[in-house]
Amino acid sequence: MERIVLPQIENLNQIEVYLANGGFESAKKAFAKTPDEIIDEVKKSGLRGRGGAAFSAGLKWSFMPKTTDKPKYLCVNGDESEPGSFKDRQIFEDNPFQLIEGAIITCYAIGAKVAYLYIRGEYHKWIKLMQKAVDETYSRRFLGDKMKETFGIDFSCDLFIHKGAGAYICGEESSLMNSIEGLRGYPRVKPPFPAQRGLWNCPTTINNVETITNVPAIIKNGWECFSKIGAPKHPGTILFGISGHVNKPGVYELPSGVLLTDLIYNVAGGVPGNKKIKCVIPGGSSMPPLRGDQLEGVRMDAESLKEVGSAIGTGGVMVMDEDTNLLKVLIRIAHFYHHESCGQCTPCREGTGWMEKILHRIDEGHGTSADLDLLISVANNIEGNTICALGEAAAWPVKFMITRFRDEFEKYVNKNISIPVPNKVHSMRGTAVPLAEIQK
Amino acid sequence: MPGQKREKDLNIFEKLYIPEIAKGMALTLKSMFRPNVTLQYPEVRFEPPASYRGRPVLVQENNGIERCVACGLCSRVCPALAIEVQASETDLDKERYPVKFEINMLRCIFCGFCEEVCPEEAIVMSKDYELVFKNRNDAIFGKDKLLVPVEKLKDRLEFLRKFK
Amino acid sequence: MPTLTVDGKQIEIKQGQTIIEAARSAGIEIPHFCWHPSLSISGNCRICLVEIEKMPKLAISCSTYASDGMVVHTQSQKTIEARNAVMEFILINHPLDCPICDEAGECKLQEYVYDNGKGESRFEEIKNRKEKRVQLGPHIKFDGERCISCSRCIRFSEEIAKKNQLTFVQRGDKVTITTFPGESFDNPYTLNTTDICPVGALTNQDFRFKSRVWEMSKTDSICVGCSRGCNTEIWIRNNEILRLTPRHNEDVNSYWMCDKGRLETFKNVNAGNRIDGTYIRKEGQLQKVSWGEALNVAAKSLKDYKSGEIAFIGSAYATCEDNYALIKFAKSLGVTNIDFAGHIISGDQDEILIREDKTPNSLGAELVGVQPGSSGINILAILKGIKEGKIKALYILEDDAASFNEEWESTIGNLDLLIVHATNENKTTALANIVFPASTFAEKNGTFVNFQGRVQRIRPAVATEEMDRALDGMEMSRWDKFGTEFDRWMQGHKYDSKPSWKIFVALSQLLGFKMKFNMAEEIFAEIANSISAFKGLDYDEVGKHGVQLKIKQTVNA
Repeated sequence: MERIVLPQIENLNQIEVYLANGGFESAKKAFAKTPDEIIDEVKKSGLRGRGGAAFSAGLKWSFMPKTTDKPKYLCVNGDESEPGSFKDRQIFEDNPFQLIEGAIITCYAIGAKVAYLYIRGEYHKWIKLMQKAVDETYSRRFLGDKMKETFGIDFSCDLFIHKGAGAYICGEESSLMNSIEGLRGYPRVKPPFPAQRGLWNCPTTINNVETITNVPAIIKNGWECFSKIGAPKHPGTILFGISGHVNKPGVYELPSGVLLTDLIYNVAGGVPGNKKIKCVIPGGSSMPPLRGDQLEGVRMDAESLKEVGSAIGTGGVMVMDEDTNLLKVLIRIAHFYHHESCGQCTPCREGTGWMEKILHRIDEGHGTSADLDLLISVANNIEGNTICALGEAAAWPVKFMITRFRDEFEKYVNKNISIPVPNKVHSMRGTAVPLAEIQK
Repeated sequence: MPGQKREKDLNIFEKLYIPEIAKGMALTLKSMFRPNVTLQYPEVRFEPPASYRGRPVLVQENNGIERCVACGLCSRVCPALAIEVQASETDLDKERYPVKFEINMLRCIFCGFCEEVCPEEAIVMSKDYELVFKNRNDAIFGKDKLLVPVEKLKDRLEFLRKFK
Repeated sequence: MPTLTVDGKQIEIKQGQTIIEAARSAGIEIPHFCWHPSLSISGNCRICLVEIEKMPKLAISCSTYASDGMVVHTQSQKTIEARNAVMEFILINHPLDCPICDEAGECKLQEYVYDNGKGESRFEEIKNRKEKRVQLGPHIKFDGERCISCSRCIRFSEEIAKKNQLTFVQRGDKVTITTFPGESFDNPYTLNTTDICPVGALTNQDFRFKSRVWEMSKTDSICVGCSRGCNTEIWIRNNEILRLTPRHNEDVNSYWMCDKGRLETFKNVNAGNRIDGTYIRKEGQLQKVSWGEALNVAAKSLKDYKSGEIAFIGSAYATCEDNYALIKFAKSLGVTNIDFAGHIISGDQDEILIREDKTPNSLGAELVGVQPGSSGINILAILKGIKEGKIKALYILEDDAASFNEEWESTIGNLDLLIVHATNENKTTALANIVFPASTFAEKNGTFVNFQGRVQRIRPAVATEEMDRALDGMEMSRWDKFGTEFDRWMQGHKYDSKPSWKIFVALSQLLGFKMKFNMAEEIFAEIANSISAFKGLDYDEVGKHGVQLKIKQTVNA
């Protein structure tokens, strides 16, 4: 099959090669149409966001106000901070110009003069690569003021790369905007949504790198062509990043709706030592995990995964074999979300830490079965009560890991154990009564 | 009342009172061999049980610092308004301490509410029941009289842990 | 009119009102920590989550705009469960050191826990430790463990005080508040953050550990620090002022007051240099005498001078009533040399609250007529008159004339007769022949007119020797209600002072012109009758929040 996002062309990251393979032709084609026609085309293509929520890209663009006296902005989200996800890196490295072209077309469609490409700070090397690609695009006059002459239109846009400082939360769209503005990476309360009040309170659209990279292909081949690839309700190809216990981990571009078992056994070469699979997280660490015995017939697209109680997320598939200690896995995930919680709103700030503390206690052998119920209860209390989706991201792994692998977690806890209670007499800590004395 | 007939007149035997006297003497005789319960106060002093509510005192830790953080709850709960606390800041971990703690023993009704409400187990009812003063000012006990080392209050503290 | 339904109650809504505001206007209090009516919305505490019909998730009522036909449940099971969940999260790392914390008794967290708390904790881990007793600025101590990261203080300093001095640092449950590097939290309004802090994380250094809030009585009053006249509450225990806090008045000071007003305006009331009783200069020394003697001497001395030889100086620090009594008294003596001095520190003013006129009542003094009569002379002419020996007797009401400048100090020392009403010892009392102890703003009834032309009342909070808390209808704490003279907590000193108008009334009796005032209210009634700006007003009308006078705004007398 044809690859859209990462075509198999040698040295495509060099602008000569990109131009020789029809580079910036899509942009030319797009400029012949009106912005509304482009939005309509993308809508009809069925392109859905690749950043996790799988929201229709065309619909998102159409939320941008048509008449406004404020400038509009495009943010391209390359923060890619979800554990298990490493697909955008591949685009930065192998196909940067298609991403830039996509950004130009999107700017034209939504009427933005400025696009920001937000790349996580840890991607130092790829920021350099991208900056080189952007500079080259400028020197070839495909970006900036001079693109008016190149394309012969009365439209120009600029693209700036913004380097993140290494916070998971800045991958959330509203804190990404705060981060670009130079503020603390705190998510904003929604509504108002970015399309009404985004960057510097101006209308803003935020799309994932992969989503934007798909746009030139849609314009080039037409929406019908794109909508026929893969699952009808979630068409196109998806970059799957497979990691964990597989023989050939890596990023694979496949049509959506591919069988998960196909992906693991045929594409990624199966599990080392032919071991059984205990658990698969299909879309990055925050998505609900699937049991090994649940995998048969599961297809990798938003709708199918929803049916089996998970989500496509960023397409980062993590495979764990039968020897994996899921408690350790969960502790690592819980630690990550505890560490990355921004601390703005109460449930996530306090809840993530609490869950990690309970899990550590279980790991130390001081857990009871009731603690597992407590963990689920805490996760439920976080879910839905927070400003941004990090609440869910932190709650889901704990909640679903424990409910779906309860039998395994019961092995890690004791039936009858009395745990030391250090907080019973809080106020006494200032006095000379030792803790041991109080507990008697 | 003369002229009126009594409900029941005593008969001669009863009028002699001798059997009754004998009965009384027998009881006295019996009691003579019972164990003695009267204490020869002040030579012998009554040692009350742990549940006894004597005068309220402040617990002083071994390092000489009172447990009290001057939260003022005892003062607030006191139905007789006997307790006055003035807090101040200390460099100790507890931040707050009573620079003045006064219990007006003329107001105190030994109800034990202060002990019950105390979040620090800092004020407890002692076994001390000997309270004598000659004027109103002497009846106001300051920290000097209220602070009692924790060893002397072990009974009461154990009792509180068990039953409070 | 669009309406919103909250808990079955129909509420009319205004354009742009959020659910929490609409509910509040109808008397339904939705719990909140981070939301404050005068600050921007941050939506981070999550305690105000409510169930809205036809919405998939619970929504925070502080940032959700009310719309027509919306149905909100603040007491449904879903709402209460979410509220309890948030409460539990806030409490797990909260130190629960209420016995030590100064906020206890006026703590929002404490109140909501009483309302919504479960009474037991499921948290069995070690609590997070953060920095305690951090000196954020000259007046503020910060306790990181108590902080619930509501960001009210940060938003206050940014939006109200217009100084970016505070910020969050760290992430997740390590989040804490600090000043920016090299900054101190030292703007003129910092202490307002201690009022809006919903917990005891920010405490007032000056009030720290001084008293429990339930041990004090509070009396509505007005700040005397400048001509803004911020509405305040005076907090009293044992007849001593322990703190001032701002009182909400949207027309004057909103919820705020400046640090200077809060910390410095009440210190003189309990200061060691209070004038306690009447003093007369005998053999070069001021000596304490009885009221009767002082009044007699004063009356007799005044009779010795012709009306042209006497001058009166009113005061922008004194109430309208005191100034009015002064005018009436002066006129009874035929004196027309009346004026008062302004106290303006030019430039010491901002766009927020602080005014450069540092007196509370210069407009009031002007309005009641403290100005030279038709043949009288103004304050500079009075000074000249004293120098030239034309003015031989000077009567000063609650002002420190000797501190105006060196010229004044040297000049009034040469007067034949100097009678002074003063609250505290100062340079003028040191020169005076007769000193009457005037009650401070905290010890009397009266009115001030602020720079906007708004007349506002002060009320007695501290009792003087002639007063009794119960009989005079003053605010009383539990201690005041049940205390006796034998209780040490009732033995706070009562100063032997009187409101200035009472001294004028007493003097007028001796001079044959009888002013018949028994209460400050009666003077105000006469002011309302005789001065057009005050027409139709009385104390009830002025009430808690004052009344705007119908005058052309004359600023800075």
